Amino acid sequence: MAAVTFSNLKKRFGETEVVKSFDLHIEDGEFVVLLGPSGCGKSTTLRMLAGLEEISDGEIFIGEELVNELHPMERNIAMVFQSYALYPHMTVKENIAFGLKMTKVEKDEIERRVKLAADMLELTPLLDRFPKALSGGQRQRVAMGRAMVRTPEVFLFDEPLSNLDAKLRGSMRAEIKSLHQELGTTTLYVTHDQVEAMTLADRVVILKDGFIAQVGTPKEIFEQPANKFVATFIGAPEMNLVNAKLENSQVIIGEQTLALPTTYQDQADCALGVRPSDLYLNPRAIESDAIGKLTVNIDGIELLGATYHIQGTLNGSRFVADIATSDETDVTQETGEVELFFDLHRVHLFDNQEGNAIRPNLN
Amino acid sequence: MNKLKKSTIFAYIVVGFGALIMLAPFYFMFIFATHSNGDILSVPPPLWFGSELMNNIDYLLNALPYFWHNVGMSFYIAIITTALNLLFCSMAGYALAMYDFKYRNVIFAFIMGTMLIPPFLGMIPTALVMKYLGWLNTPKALYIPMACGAMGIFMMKQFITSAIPKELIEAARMDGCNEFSIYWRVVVPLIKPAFGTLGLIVFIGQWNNFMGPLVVMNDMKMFTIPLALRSLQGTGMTPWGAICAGAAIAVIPLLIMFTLSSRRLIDGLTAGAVKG
Ligand SMILES: Nc1ncnc2c1ncn2[C@@H]1O[C@H](COP(=O)(O)OP(=O)(O)O)[C@@H](O)[C@H]1O
Ligand SMILES: [Mg+2]
Repeated sequence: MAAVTFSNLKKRFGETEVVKSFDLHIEDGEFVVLLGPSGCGKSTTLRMLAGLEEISDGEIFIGEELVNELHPMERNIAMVFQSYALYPHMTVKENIAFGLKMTKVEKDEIERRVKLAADMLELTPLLDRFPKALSGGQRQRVAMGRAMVRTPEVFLFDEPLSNLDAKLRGSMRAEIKSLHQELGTTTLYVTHDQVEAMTLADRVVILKDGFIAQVGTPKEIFEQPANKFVATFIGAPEMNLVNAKLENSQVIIGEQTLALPTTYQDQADCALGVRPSDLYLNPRAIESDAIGKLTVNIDGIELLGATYHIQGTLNGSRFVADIATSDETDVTQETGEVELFFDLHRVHLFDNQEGNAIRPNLN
Repeated sequence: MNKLKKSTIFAYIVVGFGALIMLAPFYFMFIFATHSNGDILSVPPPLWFGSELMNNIDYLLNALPYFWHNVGMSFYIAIITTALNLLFCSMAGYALAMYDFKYRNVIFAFIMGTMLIPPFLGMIPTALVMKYLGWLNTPKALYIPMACGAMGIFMMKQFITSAIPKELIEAARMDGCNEFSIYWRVVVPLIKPAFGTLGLIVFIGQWNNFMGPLVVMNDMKMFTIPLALRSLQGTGMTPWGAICAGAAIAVIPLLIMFTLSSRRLIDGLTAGAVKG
């Protein structure tokens, strides 16, 4: 096991820079997820660590060792590919053992390790099958077995669950999690699925267009998004953002005013962010010393079982509320106005130029 | 129903007629191999087997004292050519399919361009080169120039591109393979169908090659079968019966190979087209 350090890592394909100054330190044994929309450079970053892609600039360390120029094998890394990349002409057993055979591990030792991995992943009855005779989930587990037996310093996963159906994805997610808890190997996991990121990660790294938008625990990223991109990327339905003004620690939205519990610098052009799930019809449902209220124009209502969505407009922006059906107050009208309540400690403020979060004054 | 039947019958007639035209020369080759020259040249020619096969073969072996050696040469050269083609075409095809390197597309276009050059154009220069190398009358004068061809490279590249995902190569690299063991342990096992097809095509091509040996072999002992049979013709009367007997012997290995592998050959030729 080892820590991994990226220092000012860059990747250019011809003229286009797809990874721009990537800095990150991954602790020994940590599970870090690279999360971002498709095409933001996640795979490229992972592949540079794996040694499958040349590094244009910057340095990567595994443990204390600079690995920029090392062959993938010498980096002592194992990777699970999105397509699983199982060798079609080898049985499950041969697939798992292949890496060990290539690195000249002794026969008895290979047997022992394959058996161990097969037991752990419940692959023992499948050892003599060929990949084409396996289901998607089984192939996934073989791919994990193949990575595991080599007892690598670092595990890499590139969207390993995206080819599975939703139900299987949930159980494989749990399996990956428990595997990590059992083995404790440093893991870098790439996905565009925020649920995977939130459930698996010790820390999430959010990438946008080759930049790190934020690094933090799932909780930090959800509760204290560093910028508008992270705020809207994480959480479904996405966070409401409404243009506003900050004056004397008051948020002014058109005619409406919210007095904030903490002091802020004045800001002429900013955005107020409120998560749909933080909105209530009934102020008594909120336990807080500072409750805000906004009046919103209703455009429509959708019932979704446990919750219903109120779609509305506020100051020209879309404004959605996710209301629990158990909320005592009911909205019956489909149009008109509605009063929505929320905890003022849970609102977010962003400047509209850079999109960065505005933090309260400390003094 | 009736209509469908009519069109089916029509299709059978067309295909049957085509097959007849294709097969007629083969049929007559086998028939003439069993007749004397006089019978063959009579009108109408014989349509069924005669009794002169042994005489024809005797004549053949007398006129061509090295006939069996010539058969051996044909086998030896065709087998080595096939082996070299499988190795080099698959390696080149793999490199062109899977590696990113400078001028890859230019190189590939250049290789493909060589297909435009008529083979006869290269014949005399090849013979001269062989002469300078001192390879005339040696088998390598035939198998080295034909060790790798544009068609084979193209076929292998297409097959590898369609049959082997890039991630598989990368997985092998991460599993500790060096570049050669990726080729040998992952690529080769997965392109066996293409090996079958290309092998057959190259083998048949070299087995039937006439112009190649014509310019580099002038010692009768080193002749391949097509050249040896051709040498019966020319001075005075042509012994058609003996030539047909020799040709029949030359065709037998091909017939055996084809019956054993026709499925694979046809599958391989259409593999690219209907790949699922
Ligand atoms: N070999 C390549 N050549 C040129 N551009 C590439 C190559 N590989 C990836 N890219 C580009 O780099 C960007 C990031 O790709 P990638 O890391 O695969 O994104 P992600 O995994 O986050 O979806 C994309 O815009 C992609 O088109
Ligand atoms: Mg990707």
